[in-house]
Amino acid sequence: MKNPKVIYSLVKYIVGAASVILILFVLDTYLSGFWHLLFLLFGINIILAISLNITNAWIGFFSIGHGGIMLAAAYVTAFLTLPPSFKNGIINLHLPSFILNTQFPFLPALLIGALFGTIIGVILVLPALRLRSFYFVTGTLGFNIIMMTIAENIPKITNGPMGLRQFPDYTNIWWVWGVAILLIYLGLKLKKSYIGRAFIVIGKDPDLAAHMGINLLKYKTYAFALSSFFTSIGGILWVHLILNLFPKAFGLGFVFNVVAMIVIGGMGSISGAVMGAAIITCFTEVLAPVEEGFSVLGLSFPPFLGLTTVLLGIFLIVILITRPQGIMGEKEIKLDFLKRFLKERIKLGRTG
Amino acid sequence: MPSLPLLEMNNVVAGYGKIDIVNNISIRVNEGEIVTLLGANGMGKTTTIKTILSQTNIRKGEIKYKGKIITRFPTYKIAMLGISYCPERREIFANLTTKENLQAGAYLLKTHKEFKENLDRVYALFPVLKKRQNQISESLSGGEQEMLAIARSLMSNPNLLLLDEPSLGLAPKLVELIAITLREINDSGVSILLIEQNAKLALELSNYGYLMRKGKIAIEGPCKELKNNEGIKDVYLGIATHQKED
Amino acid sequence: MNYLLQQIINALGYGGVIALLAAGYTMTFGIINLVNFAYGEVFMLGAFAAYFCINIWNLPFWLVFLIGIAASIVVGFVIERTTFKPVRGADMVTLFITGLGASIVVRNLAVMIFDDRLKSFSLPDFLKGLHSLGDILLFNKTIAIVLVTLVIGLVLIYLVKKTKIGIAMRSISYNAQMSKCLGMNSEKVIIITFIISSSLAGIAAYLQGILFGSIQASMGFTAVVYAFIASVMGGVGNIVGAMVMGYFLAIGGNLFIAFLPPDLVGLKSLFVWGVFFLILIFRPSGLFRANIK
Repeated sequence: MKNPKVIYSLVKYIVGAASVILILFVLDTYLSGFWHLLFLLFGINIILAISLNITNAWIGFFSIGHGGIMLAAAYVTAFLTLPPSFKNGIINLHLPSFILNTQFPFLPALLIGALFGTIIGVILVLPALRLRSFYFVTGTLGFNIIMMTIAENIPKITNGPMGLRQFPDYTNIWWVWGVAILLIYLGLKLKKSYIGRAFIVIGKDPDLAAHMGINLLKYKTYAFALSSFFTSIGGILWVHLILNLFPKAFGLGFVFNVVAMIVIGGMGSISGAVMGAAIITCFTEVLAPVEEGFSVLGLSFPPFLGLTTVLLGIFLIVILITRPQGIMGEKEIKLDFLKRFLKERIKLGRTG
Repeated sequence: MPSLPLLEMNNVVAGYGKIDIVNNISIRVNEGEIVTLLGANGMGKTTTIKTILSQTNIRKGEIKYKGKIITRFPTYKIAMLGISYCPERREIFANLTTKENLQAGAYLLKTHKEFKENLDRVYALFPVLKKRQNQISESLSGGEQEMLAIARSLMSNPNLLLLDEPSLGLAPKLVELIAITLREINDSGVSILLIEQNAKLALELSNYGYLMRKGKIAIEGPCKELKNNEGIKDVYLGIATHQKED
Repeated sequence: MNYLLQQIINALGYGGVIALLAAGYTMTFGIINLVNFAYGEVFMLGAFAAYFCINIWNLPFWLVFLIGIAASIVVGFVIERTTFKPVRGADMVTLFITGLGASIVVRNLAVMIFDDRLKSFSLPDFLKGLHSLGDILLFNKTIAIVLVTLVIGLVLIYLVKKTKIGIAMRSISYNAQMSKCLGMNSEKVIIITFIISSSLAGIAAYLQGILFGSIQASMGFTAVVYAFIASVMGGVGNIVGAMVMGYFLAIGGNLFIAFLPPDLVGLKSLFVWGVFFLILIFRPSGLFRANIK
């Protein structure tokens, strides 16, 4: 006789998963172009924001190097997913021929790219871990710039500043939101687990962590590996959504966007990351048409390239000044009241 | 005997942030006097001095210097009035040479002549500083750093010197030297508010004393009387025992 | 050999620009521990102010020079009051992000308003021309820049070591509380440091303008990165160290790409960052002593 609790939670998971799949299916079918795109961007931003929280907020190593990691992962995946007609035909990339002549399906390419991104992320962060927090940040800035410079200057492999085009349209709601929901779930669970709490102790008081027997190096490596892996996935999904990749794609502006998400949402909070991602996604997409110039009421406004970055930067600075802990601080939304509310309704439903 | 005290603190309540460390402190330093604050560690002595310098959160009470209110004045303005400070951990500028530290101390002086005079005077008091004048002050020994800290606080021709634990961590011979020097300084017209855990040294040196306990003044009086006071003897005995254990 | 010498001489001009920027940068970094990436935009806007003076009002070069400095001082002041003063006392990472954010905002605004094309910056007549020493070319403007840098360097050293304000700066950078107890008005000294630092940016901006013959809205970022790295390498707060390292980075960068195949010229920044990482890993406190200004 199985424990009723086990059955209950099993049912909970199945129902949960089924409803999520149903919702995604409905959204996928019925959302129109703009909203569909918005929803996908939202999902990708969630992935990037939660990944960034792991390093910047939890273990306390504020990094702005995610641009470089995404760049590396995206290029590697691109080499695999771009059609041979492009790689071999339109541009002549100097890659091994078996890569030039094949086009990988998404999953293996994604994994290989993410793996590459993770390895880069981990290898490069290891020597930097003993730097003081401020020099560490600058080091990650340098890492970004170095990756961009390399990408620009080896045109035989990356096609230089012109970048790569003709990406297959692999990104869809299932990939994006599958990973996003996985990451939300993982994040919440991790936060309560030993590993997650070890991360947070390392961030708050490394000496205490060491005294508690936590192997600092091991856990920091785990954190960066995890973060780099999902950041890479986020970058790869992005590239296969907007269908081009060039060295400046994940430049300072992009990187800053993600930083803004976690600062606004609250550094360390998973729900905060989701909220921050939502806010930034709307902000950016609403301002995008303004950037290109538009006309309203007979007045025509010229294009304001970079307006989004400017306004976002100002917004971020204002937040840092007025409410540096963001919306959620480090906490999560408490679902208790929601649960209780639902339980009440179910009770009423039964008796009524 | 001048009727107006050089420095007075009246019913001062102060501390850091929301926490009060000193509660209802009233202290008087008359011109020409050496006044001492006694008491065990953590009783609020240093906080009292820092309060004069506006480095704490002053919640109530007033501080007067030469009859004028100076409560909460910016620290640098208080220095400009002629109040000098030699802190508990010396806090010399380790990145500067000995002479440069003294130059920093002389920041408020107007003429080079005054600077030269004061420099010669402190070199006369502490010849070893002259010997080490171009050395980076970080490399000075503990005793030399204490001498530098005191010398630095004298460079500005202060009327009142706030001195926190000058004998801390120094060998007995050096402590004697410091004591003699303090007497000399006082004779030359500088009033001193002294914090000393070494009760014996403090009572021998000073005219008047306050014993602080838990942020309040527990006992006060002329030092001649305090020497025979039972409460002080406890403190003295406590210090003496502590010293024997070293 | 001649080729290398030419590379070194070519770098002397830019070396001067970076040396001045690094000196200014390290001063604020040293005195209030502030990493100010927005400094690059102070630099850039000083250059643009000078540019407008030349092209719109046709002012004589010395007036342009002074106005560029004045503009930098104003911009530096505005940025300090709006972005840094409210977060004063926060941890370094927050300050860094704020500074980086401010620099992104200002830079993008400038690109929006002025567009990122090169704007030609005219060289005053008396600085035109060059000399040739055998095979090697030496421009008059390079000589001018080196001289200016040298003079300013000496002035700064004198300022910091021999004057009252210099002692105040060094004391405050080590222990601000104690400095106040000696009568130093730390707020005033910090503001003066900012003014000097911004002026250096203004001077460097004009020099870069005449050196390259052009300016552009995005010139601030590369420059401030060089300045930052030079400061760290020279020891935070160490003016001489920063200036020497500025020259080192410029000369080293040129020599670095001299040895590379010509199509890898864009990798110059790799040299600079590479050196930075090496220093950080092997000697986190910089090559020169930290905290001595």
